[in-house]
Formats: sequence, structure tokens, C-alpha cells
Amino acid sequence: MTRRVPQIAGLAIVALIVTAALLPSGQSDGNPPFQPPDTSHLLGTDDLGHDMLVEVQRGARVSLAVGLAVGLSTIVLGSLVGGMAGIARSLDGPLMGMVDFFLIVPRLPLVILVSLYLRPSVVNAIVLLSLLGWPAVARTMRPLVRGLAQAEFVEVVRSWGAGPAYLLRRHILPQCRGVLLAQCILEARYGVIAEAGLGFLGLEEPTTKSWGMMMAYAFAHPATFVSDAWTWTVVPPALALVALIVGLSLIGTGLESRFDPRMVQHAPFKADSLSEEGGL
Amino acid sequence: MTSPLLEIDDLGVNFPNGRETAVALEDVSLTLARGETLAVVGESGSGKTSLALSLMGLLPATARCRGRALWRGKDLLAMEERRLRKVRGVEIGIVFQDARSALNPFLRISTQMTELLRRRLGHGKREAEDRAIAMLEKAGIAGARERIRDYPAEFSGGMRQRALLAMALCANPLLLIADEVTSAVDETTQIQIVDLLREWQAESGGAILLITHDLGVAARLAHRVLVLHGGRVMEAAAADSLFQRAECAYSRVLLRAATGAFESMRGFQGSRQGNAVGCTFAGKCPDAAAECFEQTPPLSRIGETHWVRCWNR
Amino acid sequence: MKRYATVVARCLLLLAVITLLNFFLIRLVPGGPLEVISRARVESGAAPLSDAERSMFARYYGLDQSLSQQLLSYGGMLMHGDMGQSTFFRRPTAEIVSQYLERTLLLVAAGLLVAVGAGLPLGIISAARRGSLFDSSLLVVEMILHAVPPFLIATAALIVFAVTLHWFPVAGSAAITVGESSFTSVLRHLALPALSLGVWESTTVYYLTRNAMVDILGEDYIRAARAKGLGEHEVLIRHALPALAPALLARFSVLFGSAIGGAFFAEQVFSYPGIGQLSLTAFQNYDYLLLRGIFLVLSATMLAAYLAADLWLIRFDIRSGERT
Repeated sequence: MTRRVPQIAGLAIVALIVTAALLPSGQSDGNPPFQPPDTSHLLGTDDLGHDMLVEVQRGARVSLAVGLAVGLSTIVLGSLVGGMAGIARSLDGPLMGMVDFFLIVPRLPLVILVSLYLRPSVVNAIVLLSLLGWPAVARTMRPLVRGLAQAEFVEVVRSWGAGPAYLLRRHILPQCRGVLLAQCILEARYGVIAEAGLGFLGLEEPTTKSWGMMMAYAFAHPATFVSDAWTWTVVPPALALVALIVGLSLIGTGLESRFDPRMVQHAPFKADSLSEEGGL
Repeated sequence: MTSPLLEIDDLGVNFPNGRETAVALEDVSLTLARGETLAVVGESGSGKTSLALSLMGLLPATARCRGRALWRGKDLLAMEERRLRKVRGVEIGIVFQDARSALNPFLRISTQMTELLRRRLGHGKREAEDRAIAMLEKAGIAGARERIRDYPAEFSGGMRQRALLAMALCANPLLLIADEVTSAVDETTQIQIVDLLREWQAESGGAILLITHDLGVAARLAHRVLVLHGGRVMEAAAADSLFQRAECAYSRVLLRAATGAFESMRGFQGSRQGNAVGCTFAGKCPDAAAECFEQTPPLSRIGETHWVRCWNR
Repeated sequence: MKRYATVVARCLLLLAVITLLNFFLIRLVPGGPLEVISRARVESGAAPLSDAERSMFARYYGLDQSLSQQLLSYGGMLMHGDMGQSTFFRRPTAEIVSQYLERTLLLVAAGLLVAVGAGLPLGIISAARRGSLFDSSLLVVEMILHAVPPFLIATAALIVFAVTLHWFPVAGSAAITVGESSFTSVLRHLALPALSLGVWESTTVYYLTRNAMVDILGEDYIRAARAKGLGEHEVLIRHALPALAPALLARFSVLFGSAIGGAFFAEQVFSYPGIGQLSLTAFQNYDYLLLRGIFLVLSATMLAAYLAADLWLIRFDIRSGERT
């Protein structure tokens, strides 16, 4: 049971952040700028007078939304392509060739470079991240689907005239629920990291309240590091970000060890996927 | 009468795995004297390799051992790692089964062959290489002086097996454990390997623990034979006795297989779980009676050096 | 020999694809680059694009001719190393990009040095002592560290070393004035960004090394080496390490790619004038020609790194005949 502790801790952290994000946020502006934390503003105010606590809470919504969007879209696309490759031998070669091609490309540099051409927006970021994220999922799903497709019960259902799409949808993919969930969490985690990075570089809409952009604004202001202001304008969003990522990591790697026995022998916390991405 | 080199007493090896336990070896006892060749015969899963690994202290961490294995009077199973290391390679040499994976693909053959001689026995580089080349040539590798600089990938399967064997023999151990050294090679190479072993034994007086599933190979080299099935010793006899008259039905199966007759009746594959009640071969034995399934027969003596584990003898 | 040829051919193919992609990316700009530039000019109070300027831009972006003609002229330009003139800097793109790229590559090299220096030994020791307290606690530490995005690590370094300890100036701590080139000054500007990048990458190196090492230590030839009575240290150094090199080399491209990504953030936090900063400047000033040059050069650089790693791997392969 102690094996589950990291997973549960992760779940607790994420749940906390989700709850905080779902709470209605109060008014945040109209305050004097750069106020240190006190009883009326628990985390002080930023350079424009926004209440930091409210801002951080709003930022949680952005990160969670992006994480969720990226997580879901990558597993949908990835399981589709990986599933087709696993089940239809004729499609396997070309599909996997395409996947391999995508996997060579370093994800975040490409996302950044392409974003530079586009109007800065969170939606663009989500689309780009997903487009570059599903190949990794496909690569994981394919051998799984392959293996399952050769199981006996599949033969039986196939003999009733079931087509590959039906097989995938009803019989094979549901078996992969655990792996898909693990992948979803890990992709979501990547989405959160990437979104924060893009925000920090200023590649999101100026009005977005994301943790990354908050830090970007703080950095841009000359007074931030000269005074003590950074302790409440930079540190809180940073800590919140780290907390969310750690939480997702704990859940994700815990799930992965549980659902993919092949990888368990490497580390109690599954490290392979994290290193697979090479971070970015 | 000099005391035996190796004396194994009631050796048991199993792998506990949660609620189940895989038994690799049970109640195995044997002795081995200088200059003697003992063949341990059985199919895969009979526990042969576990026997070899247990002596060298190279079983996986999950393994549990019971019993004693006295090597020149000291128990190998109870020995601490440092002392065990001194025994490995120099006193007891082992040639592993899969020559392709037992050789480090990233190091030259010369490096791997001279390693033991240089690092454990203090030979100089030139000296060690000369010895290695000589042994390789004895093992039948032509142009050994040039080929020794190759990487394992450049050797054929047969050559790799020979190189592995030569590597172990170079150090002139007191006991050589040869694990299925003739299994993955063609017949000509088999004969050459058997000859090499025989020659080495005659020259150095070393003992050989020959692990094989092929009774034919055992016939050519062994003084005594031990038949393993399901981790237990089924029959132990001098080679001639066994080949003349094998008492255990399973031994007979192996004999027939060695002589080429196709045998549809197969023995146990894979290590068994937990405590098997009754004789492990009962399911396939033509002479099996009710008690064979219910009680494990003990190893009983039926001749001066002939033992068999069977209710029917 | 044939394998070398396939790898090089594949690289050239990728290069062609990237060049094409690069060419077409301009068209992604919503509304067209000319409009965007014109609008930006108006917004900043300057006059919109004159007709002369429009035609000049149209020529550079290849927007005035038919598609095939554009491709040809673009290809021709590239052959001559001409990537057009940056609108913001008013200097040839090729010149600017190479200058900034040099500095980024220096940063990446220094960062990778730190990363390998820290992550490799720890990974090896962790694998050799798998399951021990050392290993388990290190895994936890690395996982937490790995969860911190690179710009946060850089920020933390900034806070610790600059703001708190005052070892480095806070603002413009790495700003290099044009012409300054003494060794110590370069080091001083490189130190914090390289350290941050290195620390962040070291977690990846740690995981890669540990996993590769664990796999290697489970191999039969390691057991065979132990059977020779070699001590653990000897087995590790003489047998396991040579096997590690190709395993890590295979992942080098991943490392390099992510290091480039990380460099973007390190540069931003410390205002280090590398290609990351250059691209953001280009972005903010709608200098699409510069962006196009950056994209091409950066992709080509990464491709070159992958190619080098692949070629080395083949060389290793021939030596070891590794079954894949």
C-alpha cells in the first residue's frame, strides 16, 4: 500500500488545485499596486494592482484547461492512429513511419517557432502541442493494440463479421483504459509545462491570466527584482505551477507503473516517459 | 582416497513470488572428484542451469537456496561475496549457454579473453594474449592471431561458442562448468568441442560438470550421469550403467531421444510451482501406478553407484 | 557503407522538407505578412508601407510571382547563402542569425556539459545501487527537479545568485556589449544561463543514464563478467560503461533538441543574446524574413546534430554488431 502513497499525494495536490480553480473568483483589480501581503490581500498585489491570490487562482483555470485539452486530444488522436496501425497490418508501415518522423522533431522548439508566426493565442498553443503530442501516444498504443488484437476473444468476435473499427472501439481500446489514462495525465502535464513556457515567452494573448504570463509581466517590470516585490509577484505562480506539475507527475508515473508492467523494473516512479520526452 | 572437489548436499533452489513459489531444484546431492566428468542431464526447466548458477553465487536476487555445496571443504552457498569472487573464474570456471549474449559485444575478443589472466592471475599483456591465441587455435579457430582482435559480432555462432570455451579453459580452473556448450552448434563443431574438453581434462586433470540435455554428448565425455527432472534427481549412475540399463522411465525417454528415435512423449517443461506431490514424471510415465501420484519416491540405491527415484524399482 | 548513405539521404530529405515548410510558414501569418507589417507601422505612428517597400517585400517573400517561380528563386537565394535583409536590423539575415546562433550554441554546449557532468555519474551510481536508499531518494529528488520548468529553474538561479547573493548583476546580467570578447567576460555572462540549463537537463540525463544502465546491468555478458570473479567496480567500468556510450548516443538528439528549447527560456530570464532572444525580437517587430532565416538555420543545426549522432551510432554498430 505504501506504493500508492505518491499517487495519492499527487491526486490530492491536483484535486486541491482543481477545487481552487472552480471556486468563483472575486474582484481583483482596483487596488494599489505592489502591495506586500497583508490581511486584505493575502498574496499582495502585482504591478497593476491586481490581487495576487485571485490572479493565481485564475491562472489555475488556464493551466488546467490547457492540460486537459492537450491530454484529451493527444490520446484521442494517438489511440486512433496507434489503434489503426496495430490492427490493420497494411496501415502499420506508413502510419508508424509518419509517427517516427514526428518523433524526431523536438516538440517545444517547434511549437515556439511556429507560434512566432501566428497571432499569439492559447488555442493555437493547444492545437500545436496536440499536433506534436499524439505521435508519442500512438507509438505506445500500437504494440498494445497489436497484442490484444491477437487475443482469442478477438478472433471470435472477428468471426462474427466485426470490422476493425468496431473491434477497436468496443473490445480493444476499453482494455487499454489504464494505459490511456496514464498517457492522458502525462500529456496533460506536458501541456501545462509548455503552456507556462509559452506564456512566459509572451506567446499568448496579452489578456490571458496564465501563470506563465504573470511571471512574464513581473519580469518585464523593472521594480520587481530591485525591491522585494518578486517574493509575492513571482514566487506564488511559480510554486503553484510546480505543485500542479509535481501532482500530475506523481499520478501519471504511478499509473504508468501500474498499467505497464514492462516498465516497472526501471524505477519505483516510472521515469521512462519523462525521459522519453527529454523534458521538452 | 582424496576428498572430492565438490560435494553438494540436499541443494534446493526456489523463487518465492508472492503466494506462489517456483521450485527450480529440490534435494539435489552429488559429488565430483578431480579429473572426473559428471553429466547433469535434463530438459530445459529441469533446474540444470540453476545448479550451475547457485555454485557460482550468480542466481538472481530473488532466489532462495537451501543445503550445502562444499567446494574443497568450504560451503559456497554460505560464502561471502569477496571470498566467492576469488573462487570464480580461477577455481571454478563456467561457460554459459548463449554464446551470443555471454560475450560483451562492445569489447574485443582479445580484451575479454585476457581479462581473467591479466586481472586475476597477474599475467602480462603479451603473455596473456599468447595463451589466449594458443587456446583459440586448440579450439579450432583458424588464424587466431588476427581474429582475436575482432569483436564478437564478427565471429560466427560456432566460433563464439569456441571462444567462450577457450576463454574459460585459459585460466585452467579446477572445475569447469559447461552449460549446454554443444546445444547451439552443428555436429562437426560439437565433436570438436567434446574433443577439446577431453583433451583439456587429460592434460590438466580438471573436473567437468557437463550440463546438457543430450545424452549422446554425455556418453562421450561423462564418467557419471545425473538425470534431473522437475528439479529432482531421478537417477544417478556411472555412465556405463546408465546406458546399459536405465532404470527410470524418464532416463529411457532421454536415451531414446539421444539415439534419434522420435519421442512423442515429452517431459516437464519449465520449473514447477510449489511442492509437487508424487513423482514429477508420473503424468507421462508408462509404468505409473496410483502411489506414484500420491507420494514422492525417495532416492534409493539399486547398485553400487546406481541410484534411482522410483517406486517401481 | 550503405547505412551511412541511408542516414545521409534521410537527412537531406528532411532538410528539403524543412526548407519547404519554412517557405510556406509565411503564409500562416493571419492576413499576410505585408498587411501585418503595414498595420504595425501604422500603430506605432509611422507611415504605412509605401508601394516601393511593398514591392521590395513582395519580392523578398516571393509573394509576387507564381508559386513555382517563388520556390525557385527562394532555392536560388539559399544556395547563395542569401536569406534576405532583416527589416528590423537592416542587415543581412544570414549575418545576424549566425552571430546569435553562435552564442546559443555556446550556451547549449556549456549547459550540456553541466548536465552530463551532474547527471551521468549520478545515473550510473543509482543504477548500480538500484533499490538502495540512495537510489530511491535520488529518484524522488530528480523527479521533483524534473517537474520544474526550465524558466523556473533559471528564475530560481537568478533569485539565489543575483538577487540574494549579489554575485551577478540582476538586470542585463548577461547582456554582452558588442565587441566585448574577453574570455572571462564571456564566462561571466554564460555562467548563470548555462548553470540553469544544465541543472534542468541533468535530470533528463540522469533518467536516461539510469534506465540504460539498469538494462545493461541485466545483460548476460555482465553476469559472465562477474562469473570471472571481477569485482563490481571492474565490471562496471570495463564492461558496462562501453555499452552505455551507444545507448546514450542514441538519445543525444533528444537531449540536444530539448536543450535548444530550454535555451530559449534561459536566454529570456537572463537576457542572454542568443537566438531565442533574436526570434522574440523578430516576432515583436514582425520581421518575418528574420524569422524565416532563424527557423531554417535552427532546424538545419538540429538536423546536423542528429546526423552527427546517427553517423557515430553506425560506427559503433559496425564495431559491436548490436542487434536492434
